[in-house]
Amino acid sequence: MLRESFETLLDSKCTPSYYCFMLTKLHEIKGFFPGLTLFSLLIILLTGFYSPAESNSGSALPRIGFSAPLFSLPDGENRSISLHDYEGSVVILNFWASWCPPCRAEMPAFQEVYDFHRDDGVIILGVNTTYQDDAESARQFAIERGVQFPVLYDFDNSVSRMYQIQALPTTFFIDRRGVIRNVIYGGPLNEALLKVEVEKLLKEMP
Amino acid sequence: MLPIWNIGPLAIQIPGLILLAGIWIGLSRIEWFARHRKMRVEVISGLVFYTLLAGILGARLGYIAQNIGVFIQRPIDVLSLSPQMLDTSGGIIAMLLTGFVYGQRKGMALWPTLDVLTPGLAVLIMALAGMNLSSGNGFGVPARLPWSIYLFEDWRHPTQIYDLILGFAIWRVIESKPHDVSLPDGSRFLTLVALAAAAHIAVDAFRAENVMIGLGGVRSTQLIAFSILLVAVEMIRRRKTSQKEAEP
Repeated sequence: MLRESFETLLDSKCTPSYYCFMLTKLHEIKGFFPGLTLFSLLIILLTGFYSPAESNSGSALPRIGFSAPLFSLPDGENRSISLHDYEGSVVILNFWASWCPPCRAEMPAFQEVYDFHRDDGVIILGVNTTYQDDAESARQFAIERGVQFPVLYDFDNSVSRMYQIQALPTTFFIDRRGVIRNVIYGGPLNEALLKVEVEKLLKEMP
Repeated sequence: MLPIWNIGPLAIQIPGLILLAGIWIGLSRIEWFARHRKMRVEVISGLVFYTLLAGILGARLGYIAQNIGVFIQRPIDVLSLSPQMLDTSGGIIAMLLTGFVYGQRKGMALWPTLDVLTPGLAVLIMALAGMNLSSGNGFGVPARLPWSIYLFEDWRHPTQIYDLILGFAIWRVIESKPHDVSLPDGSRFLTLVALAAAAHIAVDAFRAENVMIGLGGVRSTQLIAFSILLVAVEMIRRRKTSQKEAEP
């Protein structure tokens, strides 16, 4: 049957050669579809045998499924705040700048969610990309908007580089095990979306 | 990998752009194919338009239904433009229902319609591979091969490129000989389903992400794709048999 299939595939009618791979030709090949099914089954079994899939959560990368890279940054009072300090909490990591309109627009939603869920073990870390912003403007903006969650200042681009920030705002949702579960590029994010994401992580067992 | 393209103050999300391009090119291939099959192009375009619209609305309604408690507190957020607030299953159900109702009203036959839509679906499969290539999603397991790509601090199988190559090959097969009506209606669509499922099974063998592992290492996504492949192959067989029986 296999020989017959090859002969059909390579017969003289196959000119130009790509005609061999045309739809009708596939259906003319005896046993093509059963063969495809058997081949797929073989691949599944081989995959199961070799099992090359890796667990991502062991290594730290700014991607869904990986552990969140650890860092420390100063807050407005120059105290060093580390992501490691919030192990066991659901963390929202928001990268922002005071000149960025969607960042400004979404700040009240972050504050609302922080007020609503802070007693449930939710922490929001607002990382100001100070290397491309003005620290004083950022501080003033946070005060004006009544931001009560920690605002951290990335003066030397080290943390933004570590998190491969390419657009502002960028928001990471980190579960209690320290694994990144969602990343949202752009904004402004609304309160409902933030609450849905946070509540999904809060429902999981610590 | 280029998830975001910064042009001055604009941050363009490349995967979204690829999806839009895929929908646009897919729609033009569907219309081209419909013309070859002498089907009413405006009816087919209407079907695609209304099912896509219903898909977006259904996906948002599904998301709201699943998180109704949150939206009761913030009803205004129902109208938010956030593309993250979409539920895939809700969208698919709405698309199927709308497609069914529209098809019934316009008197469209199921299998020939699915055949006409098939080139567009094949283009969408390629677009999804392109989106993954751009965002880095669906990346491969670490491997040091001459064609490995450096991604996420390791040399890996370029699974997104495998997807793209196989998607292109499937598209070429699917779009071939548009006038040919020797095969039973639905064969083009069912062939796409079978080939795409087989391609998924093959590429998943090298994928590190989006893989659920169970049954001693067998991936659940491969098992789902295999079930789809079995159903498609059986339907191809049945349709061929019924065509032979109908021949004088």
